[in-house]
Order: sequence, then structure tokens, then C-alpha cells
Amino acid sequence: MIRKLIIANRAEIAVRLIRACREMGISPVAVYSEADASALHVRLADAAVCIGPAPAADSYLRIDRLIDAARQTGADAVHPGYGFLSENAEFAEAVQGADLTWVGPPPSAIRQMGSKTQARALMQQAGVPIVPGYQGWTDDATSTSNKALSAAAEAIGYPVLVKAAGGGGGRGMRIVSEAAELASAVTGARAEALAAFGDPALFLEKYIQHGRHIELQVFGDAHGDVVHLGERECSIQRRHQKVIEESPSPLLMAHPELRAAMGQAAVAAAAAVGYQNAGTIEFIVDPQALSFYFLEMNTRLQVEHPVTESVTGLDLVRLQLRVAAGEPLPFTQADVQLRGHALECRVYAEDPAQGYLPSVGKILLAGEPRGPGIRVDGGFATGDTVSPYYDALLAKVVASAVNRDDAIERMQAALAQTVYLGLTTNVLFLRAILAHPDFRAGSATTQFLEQQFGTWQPASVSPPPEVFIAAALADTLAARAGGAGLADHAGDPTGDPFSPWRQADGFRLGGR
Amino acid sequence: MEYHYEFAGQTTIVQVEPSADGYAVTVDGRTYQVKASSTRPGELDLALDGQSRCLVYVAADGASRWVAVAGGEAAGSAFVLTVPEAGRRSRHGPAGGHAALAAQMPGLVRQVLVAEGEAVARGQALVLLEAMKMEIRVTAPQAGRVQRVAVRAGQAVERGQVLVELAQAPDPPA
Repeated sequence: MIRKLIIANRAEIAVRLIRACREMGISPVAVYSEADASALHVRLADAAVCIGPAPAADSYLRIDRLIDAARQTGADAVHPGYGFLSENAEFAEAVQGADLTWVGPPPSAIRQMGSKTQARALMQQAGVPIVPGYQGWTDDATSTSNKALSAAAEAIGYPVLVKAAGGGGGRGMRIVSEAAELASAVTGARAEALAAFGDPALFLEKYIQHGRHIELQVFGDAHGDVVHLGERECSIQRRHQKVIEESPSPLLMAHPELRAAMGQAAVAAAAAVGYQNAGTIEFIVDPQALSFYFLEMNTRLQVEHPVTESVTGLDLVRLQLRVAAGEPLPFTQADVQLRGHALECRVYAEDPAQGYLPSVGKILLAGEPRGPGIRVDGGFATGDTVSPYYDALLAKVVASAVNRDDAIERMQAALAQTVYLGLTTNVLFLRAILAHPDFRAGSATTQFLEQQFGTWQPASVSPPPEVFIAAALADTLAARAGGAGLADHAGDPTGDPFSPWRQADGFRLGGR
Repeated sequence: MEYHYEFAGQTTIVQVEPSADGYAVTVDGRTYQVKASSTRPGELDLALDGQSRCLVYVAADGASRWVAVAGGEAAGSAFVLTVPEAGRRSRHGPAGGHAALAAQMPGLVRQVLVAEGEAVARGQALVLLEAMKMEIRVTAPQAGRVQRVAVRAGQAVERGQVLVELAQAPDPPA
């Protein structure tokens, strides 16, 4: 069993992993860059090791320093979280080479699935449906003529998708709707792929219009068992970045036979690379034809894993740690049941009114929703600073209920209580999506946000009287406290002299 | 107490007066009976006129007041109000040259630190109250002279009960 775990990540996922460690009696060790020296994940861990300056390339992506941190602290395992080095086979090998337990899939599986072109070929062999495509020119960055490309694109049929062979997440990806746009799309995608993944290789795929992004959570153990834990629908995407995810998929709720087929295909896909631990098979689904195609496999824990946890009742991180330690999966496919409905909203520090520009700075007050069926996986607390160096994901709000409508209603209420004063967040954007009739109907496709919210701006709302009343009451109390008599009372996390609330917990401001 | 807040180029005037079981707060001429409680730092539960309840989040950053409301039309919006330069200087009551300092919660007068007729500086402690096991220091909002001391040490006081009346003088030059 794992005793001491290096958490090779930051923010909300690091906090979530630490939580699992606490439950299991594992000692969590945080790593951090200089910009994160006082971050929440550092404060919550048993020990923390600085692994370099703020830029990720000098810290969170430094394999040598992460391995050193493990040695230095006597850790016996490494969990990479998502992003950063989570799908880096060299890192997995370095961890294993240092006699540490790697909480993730075998490096060979990461490699096979990491090359999108190799993965396509493998999936084809395994009988998993793939999107019609062309990869004859994948590894050749220069010599393929535009003529050959357009011939291939014609054969597939426009629109086509130009994709990076070396990675995902929407980078190095272009949608081309007609022949005239192909050449410039290829040039742009190649440059982006090179910058993002260090690999300019591209391939072509038929672009499924009005498709639904539905992914299957899979899990394998070291004893050859692979199961799937149902699906997540992630069609609500802005520029290929997921914004809202849910389980079960509204489409598959109406077509359970499709879920069964996709589940089987997902298990076959994972088994084809000898997969172990948590992984996700992404499919694009044509909702008219009810056909599905393999897109890619993410060989790590996903951002949106909590929705699967909510509907299956399983804790994926606990499962990851157990399976990494060699334990068999404690259930079979037949035991996996989806109950109720769960939604996840990604709360970002960004300003939809300013082209979704990241909003950085100090969080004056973090207010998180609470209540039955509400879960918040957050990485920041009051007084913390959101720096410009990393992803602007503040928290994931997950709402679960007996059915989809109730879950949406619960999410709306939860988002109203998701507050990060001091920053601008996308909460109003999320609330507007949840209120849209297409979303309510469960019919949104991957084009939904672009089509319905492409020019969306938050409505300008005048402050209601409560806003002025609250400001004046807070100012009154701050003036009364005067910074003199009560300043010595501890418990003010902000150090803000304005904060009158340090006076006492549960202090009644009104009568009673 | 009177406050001025700017939002989107408009100034809103807010007056706060303690009342029998909370505050009477006037926003742009309309007065609300407000009961407020707080169970978490920065979170205020407001009840307006004994009816609508809502959860409000408040934080300050210099002259900025960040406020968000958890319900109604404005749910999910964070408003940034600005305290104008002048508003920050003169936080005195509408009565002008006269201020009555009242107890903010029921408690016990532990000590009266000033006598009638005494000149006091802005921020000077006038009365020490004890309530909910905390010492609360009632300080002079402005420089002035003590006109009346309405309580004595050891006396129990109710919320809103007047403790000291001050006649205000302009701040002495620093």
C-alpha cells in the first residue's frame, strides 16, 4: 500500500488528491512553484517541496525535480493529476525507474494513445469505430503538396478537421469547411502543434457537424480486468474547452442500447493497449444516425471525474491509488449502476465581457455553495492570489439530484452562491447556458456555444438595494470596530482592516 | 451614518441608523428595516422589512466595495462600488454637529473613559462595552466635546441605547 504520495500538480486537483490521501491514511506531499508558495494545496499537505520558479516549464514540468522531491521526502508514489506531466510517458518511466509507484497507466499505453495516428490505427484493429480520416502525410511536415491534401480532404468530404497527432485539448486543431481554406489551416495548425506538443505532425478527420461529445470512463487493474463506469456528456465546449459536463448523457438516456455499444467499444479500446488505472475514451456521436466514433483516449484522471463519482457512488481517486498499489478492482461491470444525474460547471477566473480574458489578482472573499447534492472542488480560498502563470480554473461546482431537471435547478442555486470577490468569473455565463432552452432540452451539440453564445455578453444589471445596504452595514461595522479595540482579535484571513467579521464566529449583527 | 457609493457613474446615498431590532437603512430616499446576521466572514444574511431574505457577500479593497447577491435578478453578478474621496472623509451622521453613540448589541458597560465636557480626539475610546465575551470599544467618530454621558460602569444596556452624545468639532490640523 502507498504510504506517502507526491502530488505532482497544483490548485483544485491537488486539493482533491490530498483529500483522498487524508481519507486513506496516506501522507500527502505537495510540490509548488515559487508563485504557489502559499497556495492552498501547499497549506493542506503534510510536506511541501519547492520545485522551481513560476513558469510551468521550470517547475511543474521538471521531471528531475519531481523525482528529487520524492527522494527528499521519502515518498513512495507519484500522482500526476491532469495536465502538466500526466500524459508524459517519460515521466511515468522516470517515476517507475526510481522505484516509485506511478498512479496511472503503463507508460506504453500512454505512448500508444499519445500518438493520435497510432491510436487510430490501433482502434481500427480492435474493432472500435473511428472517424473517416487520412493520415498518409502525418509525419512529414514539409513535402506533402497541397494537392495531395486537398485530394484527401475531397475523398473524406468537407468539412474536415485538421488535428495535431501529438496532443489534444483543441490545440493544433482547425475546422475546414471548403478546399480554399485548407492550406492556411494546415500551416496554422502545424505551427500550433509544434509549439504545444513539440510535434508538427497532423492528420485529417471528417468533421462531424452537430455532433455530441460523449466520453466513457474506463478503469483497468493490474490483473487484466477492464470496466467502464458509464459516460459523461461534454458537448458544452467553448473553443474545444469543456465548460459544462454531465452524467448520464441526455442522448444516451434516450438510447440505452447506444450506451451499451459505446461501453463495449470503450472497454475494447482500453484493453487493446493493456490499460490500467483511470482513463477516458472520447467519442463523437452523430445524434441523427446514432453512430459513434473514437476520437482519442485521455490516459489520466479527467477534470470532470466528479460527475462520474456522483452517479456511480465510486471514488475514482481512491480507486486509482488502490489499483496502482496492485489491488484488483473491487467490483465487476455488472455492479456498476448509474443513479440520478450530475452536472459539473467549471468556474474560471475570466471575463466573458472581455473576450474571456483571464482575471488575475487577489481573492478578497471566496464564497462557496453548500447543501445537499452540492460538491465544490476548489483550489483557492479567501486571501489567495490567482496568478497569470497557470490555468484559470478556480473551482468545479458539481450538483447532483434524482433527475436532470432537479440537478440543473440545484446547480443554478449553487452558482448564485459561488462567489470570488476581487476577480471576474464566468458564473453568469454558466448560468445563462443552464437557462438556455436547448440545454434544458438536452439537445445541445458541440456547436451549441459557438452558435448560441458566440456574441454573448453578460446583461448589465443595476445593483439592487441589498447591495448598497450590505456595503453600508459592513462599513458601519468596520467603523465601529475602528481598528482599535477589536484589531487584536485573530481569525481575519484577509488582513483587511475593513473586515469587521473577525469579531467572532456566529456574531449576530441584528438583534435576537 | 451616511455613506456615498458610486456605481456606473451614479452616486447612491445610504444612511444607516440603529433601530430597535436591527437597522433602519435608507437607500436613495427609501428606508428599509434591516435585520442582518453573519455566520461566515464576509457573508451577510439580510432580511428587508421583515420579508425578503437574501445572502450577500461583501469585501473591501481600498475605496472599492465588492458586493454580490446570491438571489434574485442580480444573482451571480459581483458589483464593484467606489467610495468617493469626499465620502471617505466625512462619515458623520446626518445631524451635522451632533452625534449620539449607541450600543451596537446588548451588553454590559465595563468602563466609561470620558467625562461630560471633556474634549476628545477622533478615534479616542469613550466607553468599553462587554458583549458576547468580547470587549467592544466605542470610539469617537470625529473630534469633539462630550455633551452627555448617558451610562455608568456596570450598567446593562440594550441594543441601540445611547451611551454618549458628542458635539462635534472639525478635525484639528494634523
